Amino acid sequence: MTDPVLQVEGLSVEYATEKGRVHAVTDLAMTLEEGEAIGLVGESGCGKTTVALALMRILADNGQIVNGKVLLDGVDLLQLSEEEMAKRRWSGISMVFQAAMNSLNPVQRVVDQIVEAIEQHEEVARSDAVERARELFDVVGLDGALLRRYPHEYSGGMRQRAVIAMALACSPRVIIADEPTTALDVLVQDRILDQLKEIQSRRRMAMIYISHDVGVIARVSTSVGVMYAGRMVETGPAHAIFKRPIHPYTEALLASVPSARGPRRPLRVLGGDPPDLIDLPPGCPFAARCSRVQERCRTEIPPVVRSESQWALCWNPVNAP
Amino acid sequence: MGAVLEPGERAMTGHSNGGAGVPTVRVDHLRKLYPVGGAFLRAPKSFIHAVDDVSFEVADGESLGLVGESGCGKTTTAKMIVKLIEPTSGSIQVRGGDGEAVDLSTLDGRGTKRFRRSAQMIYQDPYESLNPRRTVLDTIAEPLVVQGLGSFAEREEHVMAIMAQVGLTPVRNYLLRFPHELSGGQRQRVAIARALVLEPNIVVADEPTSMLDVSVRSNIMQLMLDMKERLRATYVYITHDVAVARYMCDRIAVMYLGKIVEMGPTEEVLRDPAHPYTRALISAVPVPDPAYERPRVEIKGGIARPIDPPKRCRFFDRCPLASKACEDNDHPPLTARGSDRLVACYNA
Repeated sequence: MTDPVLQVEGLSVEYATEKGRVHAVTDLAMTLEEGEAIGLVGESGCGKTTVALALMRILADNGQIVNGKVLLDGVDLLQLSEEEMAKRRWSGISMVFQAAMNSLNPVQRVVDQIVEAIEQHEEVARSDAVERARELFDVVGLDGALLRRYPHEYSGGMRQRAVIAMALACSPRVIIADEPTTALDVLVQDRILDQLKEIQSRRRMAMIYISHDVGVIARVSTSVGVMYAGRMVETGPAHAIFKRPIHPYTEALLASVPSARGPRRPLRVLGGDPPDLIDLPPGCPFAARCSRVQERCRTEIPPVVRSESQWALCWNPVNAP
Repeated sequence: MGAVLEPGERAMTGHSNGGAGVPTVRVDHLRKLYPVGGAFLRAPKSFIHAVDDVSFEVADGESLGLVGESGCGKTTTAKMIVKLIEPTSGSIQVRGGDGEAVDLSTLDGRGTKRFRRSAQMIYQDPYESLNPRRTVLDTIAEPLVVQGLGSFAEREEHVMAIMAQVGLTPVRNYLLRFPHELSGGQRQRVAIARALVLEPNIVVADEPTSMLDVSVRSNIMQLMLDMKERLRATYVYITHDVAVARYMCDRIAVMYLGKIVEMGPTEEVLRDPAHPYTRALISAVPVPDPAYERPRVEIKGGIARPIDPPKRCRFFDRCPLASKACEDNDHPPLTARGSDRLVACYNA
């Protein structure tokens, strides 16, 4: 087995707010091999976007990484100076955001934005950078003629493609995609997912794909990480997680999703709300909503139960690992 | 219930007596054109054909899904059904709570107000559809106030009853909250309560779950189904997600650029879609199963805006089955396929 491209250990992130400290991410671990695509899934507020922002080191001012390591090819990103980190953004680890319009400068032609990103990281002639931008547009299925246009002249799907092209510009080792297709129509989403998946596997990039859409996660991921209240509660190969979840939350989440294919099974309704991240319960964060809750779940953080490739944090698993 | 609504009012609906076979909603050759270009004192040059010759019926107690991508005309159609916008041509007949079928175009101001008691709409975005300065109580009571129903105490009692039904419990905890103090799911519950407080017999729901989180989504879907049962209401349910339609709708009408291209019982259409667009739409919806191998349906290009569409099939440019007939003839009419399905295609 090769060394992992990205290794996250014990990552904890907090936000300082008027009401107190929000424990957005707690003791999170994750490993990504070359060519692996992990899907991070969970309800809003579970911390999946915070993980991405922490890996990129672009947390909001009130956010703080209180613990952990983020090893990119063995180098801990959290120990780097801001200048050293800046060099690795785009080229080492890059990110596609949910709102494409916000990641494009509205008063600059798209070609200039991509070229600028390339020039910041490499010594290249402008003509070469433009040529690379053209190639990238081709890769994401955009007409090269669009390069000289402004973002507002693009449709939503085109913008999202342009942002993906930009994220690929410096051939990153790891690409993070945070719900890049949620605002798009299904047919457009379908095509972008195909392209993203194709590029990712051809370039052997590692990818973190963040979504609350379980169907999309199933489409793009080789492995899955299920987050709940800031913790990774289960992770493993995609086929194993979907077929035989260990954690009751994973099972409930999957059963609550309607599918257009296969038998029409009744939908599970998961009641209740996630816990307050300022005042987390002492035990398992899912205990209050869990159908398999036991007494100790409420008082003690559950242990890791694991098989060879899949693990979960649970006292009373649905399926034996 | 019924503290506010006069007794017997609901008994006049077709659920319980008479009117068998008479649809609750009947839409005939509905059209909505929006002018583009033009200027002051100058006639517009072109028109967007947002809804173009759409006809369908919704039976009493049935749930019809209008399915399609943005710009297909589903929301415009829905808004015409509840008379929020006026059609350019065509007619809509609706059988209200009193059991009488009315043509919406004949309603005056008072008639429209009375009509609102039997037809209500639920919107997509619970962040936009609630007034941020109104408490939950005021928001849900508003339709009762507008209709002049009940005393303050009666209204409050009625609001609390409906809040309990939509799961805003314990009711006392929510009554005086403002929207910003509620989660997305709770806001949508408030919006649903407001729409249902008058016990309408027609509910038009415009993607009420698409802005919500995964687990909340199934909660709200279940609530919508429970309330339909309880009110014995007729639903027109708009969604871009055929997987959601599968749970919410007895029948679906698939729309593309202002036209219905296929209509039939949801399960049958999903199992065996006839129109090439329906096939593409269904195959594009991600299936929550990594082992699923989907049939690839390739369609070209992207969705255009239906501005002065040429006289040919609307789907011609993108269709894998396109032939000369599709270009030479007008948009194909919906034709029967089997006993209860309709398809608008020359080649399917």
